[in-house]
Amino acid sequence: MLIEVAELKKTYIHYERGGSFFEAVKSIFLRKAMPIEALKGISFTIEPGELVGFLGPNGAGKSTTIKILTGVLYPSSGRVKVAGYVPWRDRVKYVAGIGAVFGQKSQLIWDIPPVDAFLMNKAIYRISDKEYRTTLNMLVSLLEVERHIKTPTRQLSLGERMRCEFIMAMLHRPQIVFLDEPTIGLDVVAKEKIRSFIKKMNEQGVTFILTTHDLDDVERLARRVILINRGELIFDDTIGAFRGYLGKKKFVTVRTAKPLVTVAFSGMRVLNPLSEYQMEMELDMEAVELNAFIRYLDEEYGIKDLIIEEPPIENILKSLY
Amino acid sequence: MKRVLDILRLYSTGIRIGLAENLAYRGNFLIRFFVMFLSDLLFPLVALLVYRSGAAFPGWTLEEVLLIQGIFMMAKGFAYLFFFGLVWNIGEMVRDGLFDLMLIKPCSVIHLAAATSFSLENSGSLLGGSGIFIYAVSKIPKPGLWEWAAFFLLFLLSLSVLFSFSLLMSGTLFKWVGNSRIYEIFNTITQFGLFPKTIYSRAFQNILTYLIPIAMIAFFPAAVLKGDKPEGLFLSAGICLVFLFAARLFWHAMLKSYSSAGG
Amino acid sequence: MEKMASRFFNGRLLTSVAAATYKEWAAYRSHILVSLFVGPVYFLVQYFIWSALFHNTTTINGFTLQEMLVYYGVTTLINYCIMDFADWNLQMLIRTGRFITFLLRPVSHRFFALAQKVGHRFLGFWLEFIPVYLIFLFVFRLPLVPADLFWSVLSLIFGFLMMFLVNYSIGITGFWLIRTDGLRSFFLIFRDVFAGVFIPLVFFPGWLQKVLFFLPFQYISYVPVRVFSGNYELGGVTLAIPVIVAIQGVYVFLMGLVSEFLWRLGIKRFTGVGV
Repeated sequence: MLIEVAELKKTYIHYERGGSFFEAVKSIFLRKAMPIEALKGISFTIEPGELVGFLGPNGAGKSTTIKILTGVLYPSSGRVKVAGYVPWRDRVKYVAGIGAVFGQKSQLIWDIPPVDAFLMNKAIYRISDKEYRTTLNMLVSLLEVERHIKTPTRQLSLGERMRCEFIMAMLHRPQIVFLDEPTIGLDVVAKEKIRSFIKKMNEQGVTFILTTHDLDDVERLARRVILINRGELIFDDTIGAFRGYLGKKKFVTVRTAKPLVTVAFSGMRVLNPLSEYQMEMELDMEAVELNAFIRYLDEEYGIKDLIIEEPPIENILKSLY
Repeated sequence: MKRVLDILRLYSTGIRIGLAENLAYRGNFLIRFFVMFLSDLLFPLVALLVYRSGAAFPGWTLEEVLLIQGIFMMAKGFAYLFFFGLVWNIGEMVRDGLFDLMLIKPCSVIHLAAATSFSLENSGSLLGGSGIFIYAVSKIPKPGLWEWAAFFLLFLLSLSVLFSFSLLMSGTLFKWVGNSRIYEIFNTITQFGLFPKTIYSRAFQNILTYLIPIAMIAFFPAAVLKGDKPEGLFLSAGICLVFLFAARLFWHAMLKSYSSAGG
Repeated sequence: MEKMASRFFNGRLLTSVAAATYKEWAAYRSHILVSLFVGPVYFLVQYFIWSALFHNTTTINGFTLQEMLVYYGVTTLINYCIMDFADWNLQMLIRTGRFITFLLRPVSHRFFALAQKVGHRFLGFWLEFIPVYLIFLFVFRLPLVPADLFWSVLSLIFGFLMMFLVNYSIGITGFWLIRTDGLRSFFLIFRDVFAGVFIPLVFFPGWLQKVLFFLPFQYISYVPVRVFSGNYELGGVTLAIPVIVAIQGVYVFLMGLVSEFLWRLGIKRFTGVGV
């Protein structure tokens, strides 16, 4: 067990502050405390080498959980053990073995090339010259940034910068890497480069904890999904189970020769009539025999084009939130 | 021993990076250096103008006043160059929500914040202060070996007082986020240290010597170099260490409070 | 003529921008209230300094101890009425590119910035001037009664405008300089030294005082402070209060012309005209 979280609770105390001058002065002496339960007692375990996606709406308790796991935040109660450490208690020793990439918070230095920031990390993480050179060369070639690490950060594109952020996070060969929105704002090609890098490192045994709103990231990377909403853990299973959570459903798009009026079939639900001849539908595979349904469509309306696929993850999330 | 080496390596890398950043905007760096150099000459200038008009602090010549002010600026310059930047660094990071990036690094936040805040333009203060100091020392009765030794020790204590202030200020910025006037408060309080302690009332002298040892920043080192044996010196030296201890306690308490409030 | 006047003075704009700025800054009460600590403590240091300096003499450079303390007290109070961030605000707008939103609107940015200052200082009047005035009056027993209320207020208004125009002109340099914080600090120190903030201007060498008479800085703070006390002197020359206030008014007008001239140059550069 690499990460063990048991009955984790966190309550923040916010203080009410009035708007008028009088209320503001009063608030210096008497403040009304409003407790906010961010985490109501969540529990999960993660084994080494996993790639876990953390999902949940904003304010659900996701970032609170990640902050506690990275040792940055103290919980109100509960037990957490990561790689044998209690993160916030043994902070300095613990964080030597973890890395983090924040999509919105850069660890590079704006005016100078990334390679100078790497040197800073080398000193901070006490990496030997030899280790530094080997790891740097490996990461640079995997991420294809040979030409970019000597250019001032402010002159790099977002994709190039993000790849350098990954180097910053993994120079010291951490066994766990926390990713917070790592592909935000990137174009499709850049996203792919980063995703394949994450997969490769994961194959080498690095555990990744991914927090994101990008469902493509989850679909392509995560092998396990943990869903947190309103401070509670409401889903913790493989990605296959995640998709199957909605029951056996299929998402069908059809284009026909004859106009699609009064289309009806038991177990079929119209999602979106795109036009007279095109329609998006949802099939409950436990109530529908696919052969019979296709025959019905073809005989009544004449199929010109038919796409059958898994339902998009958004639908699953919407029903779970 | 290895830990000391690691910390030195951290600082030396921080200095390298700071210099690289300075060079990225050469023109602005030179101007800021020049401005720091000039602005520290303001108080000596005022002292000069005042003495020129015939007035004087009782028992203190102009050169002796300049000695105090020179030491003050040297101490401040040294502090600004090597560690005071941690206040600005921590303050900015907390305000921009980036402070967690410091907490996930395996070293003391204080060392990290100080090491990564190095900027050569702060040497402007050190240079200006040194110049005034050298001039003033040349005009007082030549200090002997004992005086220099005592001065050196007290100068270290002076730096410790400034370091304590940097801890108090950065600790405050965890709670009073983004407060840009904290430097004003600091300058206002330490202002008392620019002039001979004897001009203040008894009550204030006691505060400056035994409560918040501002008199140690420049007055005591200057008095000792001059050859005086100022009263309250040893007790004040002890208070400096207590002050440092209290400042560290305060800083860690503020960090703990920040880490429990989620920033 | 009417159109030009309304470009330079728009009553409705003044009140709405001032009110908005007032509300915006009212949210930063704790920021402004720091002055209640800084002002009196700074004065306390001056009190000790000058009490010690006057220990064996009754006048220094024509000031008695009382008059010297009043000088510093009034300088601090006047600063609460006339200070602004016009230079910083303008440079930030230019640097971030947000300045363009002003070019797209039928408003003079300078007037807009002046309205902001009015709102900001109105708040400062309640939160800084009044409390510190009371502290000076009752704790330090400083006799803070103007020699002539009318001339003092008029001179204060001129100082208010002068500070604004000087700061605004410094801000206009943001059209030419990329990173301006270094230069700005330099100008601010320069301005304060020669406005008599750190020491009354009569302490400077005689030849320098004569030069300072013709520079705009003394009209920011030194003149209003001396008008308050009822006697004006610089470079060995004594002037009647109405005379120096009139000259101050002229300088405000001249500074307005200077800022207008710099503005046109700056806008040309910003919009690339003639490039």
